[in-house]
This record gives sequence, C-alpha cells and structure tokens, in this order.
Amino acid sequence: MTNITAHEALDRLGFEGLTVASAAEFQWSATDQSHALGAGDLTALAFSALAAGGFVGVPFADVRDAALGRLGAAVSSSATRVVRVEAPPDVPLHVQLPDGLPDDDVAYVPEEDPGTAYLDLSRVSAVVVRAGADTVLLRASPGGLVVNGLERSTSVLAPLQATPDLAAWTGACRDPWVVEQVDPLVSSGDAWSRVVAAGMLARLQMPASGAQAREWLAGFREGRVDESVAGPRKWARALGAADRAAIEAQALAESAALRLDIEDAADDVHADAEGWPDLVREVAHRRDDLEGVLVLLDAAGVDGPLRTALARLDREGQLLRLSLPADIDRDDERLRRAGLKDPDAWWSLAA
Amino acid sequence: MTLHEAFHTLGPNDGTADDVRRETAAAVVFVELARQVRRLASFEGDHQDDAVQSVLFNLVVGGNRSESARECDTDGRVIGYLYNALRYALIDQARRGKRLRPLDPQVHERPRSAGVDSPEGEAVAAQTLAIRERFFAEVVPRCAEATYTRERPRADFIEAVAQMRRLATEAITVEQLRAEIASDTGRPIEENTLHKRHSRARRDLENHVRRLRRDGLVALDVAAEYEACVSFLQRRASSAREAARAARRREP
Repeated sequence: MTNITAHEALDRLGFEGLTVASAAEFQWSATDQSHALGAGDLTALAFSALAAGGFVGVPFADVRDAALGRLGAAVSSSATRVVRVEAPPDVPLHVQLPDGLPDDDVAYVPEEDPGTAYLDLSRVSAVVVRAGADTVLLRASPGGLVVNGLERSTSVLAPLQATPDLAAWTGACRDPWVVEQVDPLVSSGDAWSRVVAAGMLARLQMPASGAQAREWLAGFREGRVDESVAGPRKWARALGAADRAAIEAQALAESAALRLDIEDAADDVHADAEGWPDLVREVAHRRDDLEGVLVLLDAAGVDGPLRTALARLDREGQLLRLSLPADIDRDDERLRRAGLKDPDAWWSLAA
Repeated sequence: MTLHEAFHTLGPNDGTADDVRRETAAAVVFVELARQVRRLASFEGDHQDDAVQSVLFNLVVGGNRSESARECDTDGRVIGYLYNALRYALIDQARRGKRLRPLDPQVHERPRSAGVDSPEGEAVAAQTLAIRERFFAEVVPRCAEATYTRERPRADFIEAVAQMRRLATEAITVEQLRAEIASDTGRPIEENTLHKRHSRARRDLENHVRRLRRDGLVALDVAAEYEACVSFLQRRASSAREAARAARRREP
C-alpha cells in the first residue's frame, strides 16, 4: 500500500479536480545489479549519482497498461524506486512534483531528450505526469508502482438550492460594462454560469472615473450598502453546506482542466498561428471566472483546496504570460480590470 | 488597527455591525495610499488622486482577496503592494489617456519602463538597465545554485540562459544556434528539444524570482523588473522561433 491515497496526492499537487479513471500496479524490477556500473548494489548510489551518469547502465523493466495511455514507463528496483516515463515522439512531457524538494533532487530530464524523465519515487509521495491527452498519477508502494489514469471531470454543477438573484443585483449595478457581461449569463440555465456571473458582480465592478470612485467611497463612509456588490456576498454567506461543497468541487474541476489548457497554450507559443491569441485570451477569462468564484467562497468562509489548486495553476499561468510576444493584442476590458483588481494577476496579460 | 489588519479587513458594506470596522479600515488604508502615491512623482496631481480613489475602490470590492494580497502579512508587504497597485493604476490611466506609447517590439534590450516620455522616464529606464545587468550577472548564477545541486544541470541552465539572451538580442538565429550546438557536441539537436530546454530554464528563473519576492529578499518593483527580464528572454526567443518557422513555411 502507498502511504498516501490518490485523493490526497491530487490535493497536494493541486489537481484535486481531476477524476481517477483507471488504476494499475506494477512490481519493482527484480534486479539491483548493473553490469555497466559494476557488480555493486545500486542502493548504494543516490538518485543524484545515477542522474549524473545519465542512468546509463541502470536496469529498468518496461511496464505496460491501458492506464498509462500512450506514455511509456519502466521501473527500477524496489531499492532505488526510480520510474522512467517517456512521452510519444513530438509530444511535450509535463511533470508536476510536490512542493518542498528541489526538482533536481527527485527528477532528471536528459538535456538531449526532454521527452523522457526519471523520477525518484523513494523521495516524493506522488507525481503527475502528462503527455498530450494522457495524464497519470504515479505513486510508490512497498510492492511496486501504482499508476492511476486521470481524466478531466465531466460533471456539471447541479442546480443550487439557493439560486443567485442576479436580476436584482444587476438592477442595482451602476457599471454598464459589468451589466452587459452578466446579462447573457442571467438568462442561462447553467448553474455554473450563474455562479460565475455572481462572482463578476462581486468583484469586477469599477468606477468610470476618479469622480465616480470618490462618490462611491463617500457613500461607503456614510454606511451606504451597494446591493450590487454586497448582494452576491450575502448570498454566498447564506449558502448551505451542500451548495458550498458543490460550487467548490466544480471550481476545482475547472481549475484542473484550465491548468492543463494553460500548459498546452504555453507548450507552443505561436502568436501568428490562427487561434493562439484567442486561446490565451480564453484561458485568461476562465482564470478570472475562478477569481470571482473565489471571492464568493471567501465570503462564505470556505478556505479549502481551491486556493492550493489555483496557486499551482498560477505558476503555469505566469509562465504563459511571460511568453507572450510583445506585440500581441492585449486590448481587453475584462483583463484590464483583472489587472487593476490585482496587479500581480498573470491573467491580466499586462506587458 | 495596523495597516495590514486594515488591508485585510476591507470589504463592501453589507448592513451589518462589521460596516463600522470596514470604514475604519478604509480610512487607514487611504492614508497610506495618499502617502505612497507621492513617491510616484512623475504623474500629475489630479491623476494621483484619481489613482488613490480607484485603488481603494478596487481593494474594497474584492481586490484584497487575491492570493498576492492575502500573502501580505506585514505592514511592509502591504506598503509594497499598495505602491505596486498605485503604479499600475497610474500607468493604466496614462495608457487610456494616450500619454504612454506602447513599447516598440523591435527595440532590443529596451527596458520595460521606458515608455514614459519624460526625464523621469529616462531616469527610470537607466535604472531598469542597471537592474537587467544585475539580473544576468547575479540573479542567474544564484538561481542556478539555488535550483540545482548537481554541477552538470547547473552548467546546462547557465548555458541555456546565455543561448536565450543571444536569441533575444538577435545575435543569433535558432538555426545558427542549432548548428553551433551540433558542431560543439557532434550531435544534431531538434528545435523542439532546444525549446524545451529553454522553457525549463525560464521556469527555473521564474520560480527563483517568485521566491525572492515571496521571502522579501527583493523589493516588489525590482522583482517586477526581474520578471520583465525573464519575459524578455522568453518573448525574443519565441519570436526567433516563430520567425524560423515562418521562414520554413514560406519554403516551397
């Protein structure tokens, strides 16, 4: 048995929103003896020493199972507990390790072959590896390697017991841009879209000018309640436990799916390719959706795994932002507002 | 109420007893914003006041719930955050008022802050160039030491950054670099392999700068300039890569 469940491992890696679709277990390779490295016991050699030698001569046994998809994998002995994973040709390999240890100490990617990774499962509790559509969770057990095939969640947020009163809040809203954005979602029968709309009202409103900001703040100091921003928060606070849990689960699923999409966008920075700038804009908007939902969950007192998941997602997002060509079109009112709400928000795509 | 307590207390009124506390918090944060905005001397008075109002509004309406805002656990970090938010708001105002030119993507090594048409802008540009030099001379080697325990990956990382810099300044094309590596190592290298190597190096740099900022080892604006250096490497390298691709697409 592993020391950590698949659920715990995904939580730790910020991928709680992915679904475990399949499982397989493989025994570690039977031999510790390396002819190339001499007759000694490989357990005497640390991962770093094996990596320094490029794992040349270290015996691995190939393993195969549908859970691995198109990923190739091979295991070393139970003494070293190293797994080698290989992406199909021309498919980028992504390895997600838990925080706490330098990547270099537990993972080795040969300079000449970035589609291959050697992972030290004696030191990390779990790793997520992905190549294209195939995503797997790898964990070590005393007997061998446990592989879980992972999939994006296909669940849809069920209608909530307490639906957000979007019409009343937009009626009180003085920001025409936000009303214009939220209106199509008000008529949507989709529960998630309605939650996102509530989040946009709660967070994205902005004064049109300094004078309007002054006026709003003067009212605030006099104790005036603006229902367009207070209403969504009060609704969130009044949610029952089941509704809160359902919204959080859906947000986690969206966060995990978005993280994979961000990795894909960052894999092939190509501003003049048809659709690539639109893809970047789309992932930025989806991240902003989640930020609004986060404000609502925050008001509801929910401080669960969503923040962890978003922190991991944002590292990928930050790399995507840094990779944007300087001349890409950044003119987007929503993303401008995202930057003004949080100057550190990568998804504002600010130059 | 301390500044960071006030910062985290901000929120819109909701008709409960907590409203008084929120209003007090807003007053505390307002005073600090008014103090910080005076540090941004190159922007005019009216714009400064608009920025203060705008930033306070944005903080009250959800801005202080972001992860980076929540990480501000001392008055000092809140001050840094407020300064950054004001700077961002003023630049946004200037862009909307067309008082800032967008950066010319063809100009190499031009610092991020150099869009301001003013003597102050030029001074900031000079400072930014100094930070960039420090980035390559100090930050990159320290990142290598902090990230890699083994000598070989450390050297590979340094080499990857050097390659990206040459690509970024268009001192070399991707094809020339591949030929150079093949000549040095005796093995051809695929463009995708090179791209992945560079991506890993940029990720390491980004993680390192984030740690520096999180641990308060560099000021926020310096961290932002370091990030701009990473971005500079990535953008130009990518552009060169795109150019190489486009050239190949044009081949019969």
